[in-house]
Amino acid sequence: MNPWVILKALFLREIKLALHRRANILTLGYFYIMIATLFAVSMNGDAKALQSIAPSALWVSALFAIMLSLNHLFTDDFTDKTIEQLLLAPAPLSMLVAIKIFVQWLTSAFPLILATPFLGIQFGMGAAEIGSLLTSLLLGTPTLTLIGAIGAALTLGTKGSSILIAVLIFPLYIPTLIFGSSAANATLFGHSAEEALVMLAALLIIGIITIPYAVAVSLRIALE
Amino acid sequence: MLELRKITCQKNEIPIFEGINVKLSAGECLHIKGGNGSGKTSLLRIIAGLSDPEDGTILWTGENIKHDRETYHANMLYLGHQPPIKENLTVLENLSFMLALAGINADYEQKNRALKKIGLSDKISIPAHMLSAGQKTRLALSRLPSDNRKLWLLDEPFNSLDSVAISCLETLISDHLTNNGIVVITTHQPLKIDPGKLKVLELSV
Repeated sequence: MNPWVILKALFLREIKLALHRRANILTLGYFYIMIATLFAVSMNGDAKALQSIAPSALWVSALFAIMLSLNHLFTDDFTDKTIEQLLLAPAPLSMLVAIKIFVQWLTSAFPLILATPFLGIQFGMGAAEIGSLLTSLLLGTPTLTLIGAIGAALTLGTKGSSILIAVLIFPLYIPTLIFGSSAANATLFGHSAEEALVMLAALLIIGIITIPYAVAVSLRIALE
Repeated sequence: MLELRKITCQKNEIPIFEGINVKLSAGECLHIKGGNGSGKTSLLRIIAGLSDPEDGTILWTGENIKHDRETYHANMLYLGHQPPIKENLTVLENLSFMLALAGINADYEQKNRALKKIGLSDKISIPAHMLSAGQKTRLALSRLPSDNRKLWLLDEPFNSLDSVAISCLETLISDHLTNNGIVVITTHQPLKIDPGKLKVLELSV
């Protein structure tokens, strides 16, 4: 039995399903741009102040948009019962979960990162600042999606799960937010961003190793 | 091959069934009967390994299924009473994914034959949400001809099927038993299967 065949089939199915939900991806991007723009507008044209809040504002906007996208992760499979078939596949469930989380990141967080340079220009950021902001988002947003997957798995099948996810994962998002925005801020104020980026990478590695396994266990419990 | 030892199930502290012992060898079919709420689906989910029994063990080729989950699941097919289908994907995409997820390699010809057998060959590139309830059940069952796994667990597979599809499914089950497969099935309707191969388990409410 070759688990790669199974993993590949799941990856392709997830991509296909995401393409069927293109409107959701666009909504998310619009939401991200809208929050970031509202930050910019509310600074009343103070260019200096605007530039100094830019990394934090963009990080918070991205965090909200990612949180908003989590509801779909397992509930669709739960409603149409295909999740039972995932649980019964002759492959490690944590690997299947990892694939689902990766495609979730690719179709929710990654488009936001692509839109970020344009928002950075709107905030009056320079090339170096935008660069370190992008690096911090690339290292930090996968952690946000991973943590969100725990929330989505633990609240699966409960009523009002979207607000429950938010309550559950909100405190867990804070470390990533702190290191993420401080990496981008460091460049803005002329310090080295390296330390914060290393911390982000460390969080991500710990997340990749532990979270798919934890999510797999909580899915088995939720489906029992 | 498949053995249930003293399987006991509780829900919210209320016992559903107790001490079920069944032994099935290759080529045998177990028909689980019982009224609504007697625990047919619960028993089937326990056999599938989706939920844990309160007490007792399930053995597959003499091995507790909890010890080597992946080997057991590579030999087992479970179909719940709601067909596991992605509404946005086409009939063919659904079938391909179901087979791939089971680790079964089937080419286009084989899938086409299976869909023809079950009466869906003209719906091959239609999104599944345009199918009727009976057609969705047919789509879920269309994997059976290509599914060479030993053990089939079927929960109310005859639901919302018409008489043509019912006899088609009966043939599939008989063929599987002839090929030394094992079938565990819950249904309210009488099974047209060689009585020598059939075991019946009656659950009481």
